[in-house]
Amino acid sequence: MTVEQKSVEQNDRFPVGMRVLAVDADPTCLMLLDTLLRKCQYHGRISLSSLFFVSVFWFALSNGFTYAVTTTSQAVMALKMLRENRNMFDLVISDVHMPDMDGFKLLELVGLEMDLPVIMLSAYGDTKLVMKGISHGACDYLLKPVRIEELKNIWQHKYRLYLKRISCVASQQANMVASLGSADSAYLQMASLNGLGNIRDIADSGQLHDASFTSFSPTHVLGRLNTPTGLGMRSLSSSATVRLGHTHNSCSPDGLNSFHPVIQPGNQNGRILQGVPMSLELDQLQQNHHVGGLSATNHSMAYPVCSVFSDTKGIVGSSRNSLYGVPTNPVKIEDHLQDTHLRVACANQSFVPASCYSTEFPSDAPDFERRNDNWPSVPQSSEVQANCYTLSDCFRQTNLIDSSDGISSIAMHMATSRQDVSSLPALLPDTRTYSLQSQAALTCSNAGQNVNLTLKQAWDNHRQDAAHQLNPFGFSAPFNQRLDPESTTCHLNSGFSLNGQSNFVDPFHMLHNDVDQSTMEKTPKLKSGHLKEGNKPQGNYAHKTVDSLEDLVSVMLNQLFPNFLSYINEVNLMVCQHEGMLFPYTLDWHLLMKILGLLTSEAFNCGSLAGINT
Amino acid sequence: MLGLGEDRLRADMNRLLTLLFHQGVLDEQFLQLQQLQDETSPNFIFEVVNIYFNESEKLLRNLRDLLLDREFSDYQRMGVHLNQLIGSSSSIGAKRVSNVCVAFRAASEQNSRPGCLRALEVLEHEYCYLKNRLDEVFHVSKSSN
Repeated sequence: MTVEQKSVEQNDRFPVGMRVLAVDADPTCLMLLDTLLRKCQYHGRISLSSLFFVSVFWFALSNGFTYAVTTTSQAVMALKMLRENRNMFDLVISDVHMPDMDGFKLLELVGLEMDLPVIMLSAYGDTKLVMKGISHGACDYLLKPVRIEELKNIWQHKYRLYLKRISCVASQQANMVASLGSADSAYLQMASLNGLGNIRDIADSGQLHDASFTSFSPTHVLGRLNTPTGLGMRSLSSSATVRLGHTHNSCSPDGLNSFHPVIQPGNQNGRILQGVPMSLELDQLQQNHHVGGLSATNHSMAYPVCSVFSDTKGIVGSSRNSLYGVPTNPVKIEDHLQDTHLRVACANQSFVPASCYSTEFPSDAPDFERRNDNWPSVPQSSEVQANCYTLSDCFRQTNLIDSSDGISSIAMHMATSRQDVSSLPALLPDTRTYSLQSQAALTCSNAGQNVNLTLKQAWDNHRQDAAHQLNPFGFSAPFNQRLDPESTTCHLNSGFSLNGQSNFVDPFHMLHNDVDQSTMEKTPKLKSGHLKEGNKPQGNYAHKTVDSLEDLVSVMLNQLFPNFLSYINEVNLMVCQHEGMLFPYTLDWHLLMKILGLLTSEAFNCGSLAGINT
Repeated sequence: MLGLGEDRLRADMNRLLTLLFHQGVLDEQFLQLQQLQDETSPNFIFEVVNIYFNESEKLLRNLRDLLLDREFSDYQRMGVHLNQLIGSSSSIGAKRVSNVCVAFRAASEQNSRPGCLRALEVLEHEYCYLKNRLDEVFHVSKSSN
């Protein structure tokens, strides 16, 4: 077990800031509930207001935890309180049988209007009632007499609800993308053969990190890169791996072992070019992690793409999407990011021949643009669906380029939104050097638009073009050849100084050097220089892109959220241990901020992230 | 002398409670209530049990009025009352009262008036016994305090 895990489990305190509204017509139970919750280290504030009782107000002593309990014996009063201020409460506990309003009705209304987790409470344990509660959206159904052990765990419903919702959205998104990508099946099948066996084995382990790492992530890329780039990547991945392995150990003793092969140049080279294995893998993973019913390979293929965007966006705090879900393993986020990045790369490749995409998303361009426009602000929307489309759109437009542009745009936005430029330059090459080569004008605010337009052109122009020289940040030589040969208005680098971690910069320098000289003809040279295999350029560049993005994400994560992974781990542990709900791919940005806010701002050091009580 | 008296009173109280536990009148839920009583809520048990008594007496009155009504047919309404009674009794730890209420509820679900009447009788008896015993306990505990 990791240190974080242990500390969390040993500390049975509750997360601070959980405000509970308890509704029960029976004053006996209400008082008991209030006292129990207060003993769970809630900070109690009770108001009994009903036709039957004189209102009584008293304030419990604060014991350092800001858990707040508000009780009312009237459902109508409860609704009124909830409607007055949606953010007043985090959780609602309600009796089923109340004179003024049916508990299920209250449950429905709360779920619809306030979207809060609601726990039903009843003296009846009738199965039908329980099912009714569940179908109305209750998070839990407690039987009277309520025991304090049960109440100690209810706070988790809040986070579970978030993750559940995001997972649902993500699943829907994946399904949509999958349905759109159905034409790719032939290609997918072709590509799936190579690593399929491996993937299945890995996926069967039920470990996200296992599957992802063995299947596609840094391994493949690293395996191909014997340059400083590769070394840089490797070192980065190593660090990431080590970190992941550390956190992962808690989930699986094999986790660390699974990382090691990742570092080695794999015999899975063939896989990285193929989006399908990854997507299949993803599919497996998703199945393993109970995420939606992504049965089609295409789902998987599309999903990682979306996930990547989601991830990066989530990290960035982009508007449309967010880091979906907390991976089931402690390794999750970073692991997932790496995976998804690679997936994107591979998926890009798989998308290459997918001509079917080209005509499918003309309407998505606005999404892309809108998304980009929204990026500078820290968003809270989880319009995964839109992201998915835009991502697909990206793929359609420029294959790797698009996604990489998107990713790099994200990176830019990330930097700008965070005003943490210093971290970003480390990951971004001097784009000015690419300006001559690239036509992609990536501005911080409307990169998407530019990319969108240029990519669209590029896609149409060089869909058959096998040599895509791709700057990881969206500057592509092929573009140059196709588009108006103007210097790229590369705003990407504006304001950024190249402070670099050599690891990050190296690959780009390599690429940069080649790109400087490169024309379309040079492209293969670069490829061969950087990539061991003479695979399709798309694939190679995808890898490059992925690597840089991956690193970018990792660095950003580490710089911006030093304890990000541990937090995620803990949150995920809390969630997983109780319901086995696995949301490996997405994490709502808003939720993330909340979690981090909860965890870091108040008493986290005291282990406020409640102990995991099973 | 005072200490001895207090100890004796406390012993009496404990004996009473032990007897109630032994008879099945109270169950472990009552122990939970005792655990909830501490410095921050010193009279918790007394308060919550008093609330329970007030509520239960109202409910019992309602049930009686319903059942003794000649044209009684509203078993559902009786079920509502019983629900609350079951909930509060079990929350207090009044095991026997709660069990009788469950039987009462079963009779009312079968729309059996004689069954309900019988159950009401037993319920009232159990409730009175519980109330008397707990009043005794409180009296003793108050005296010892």
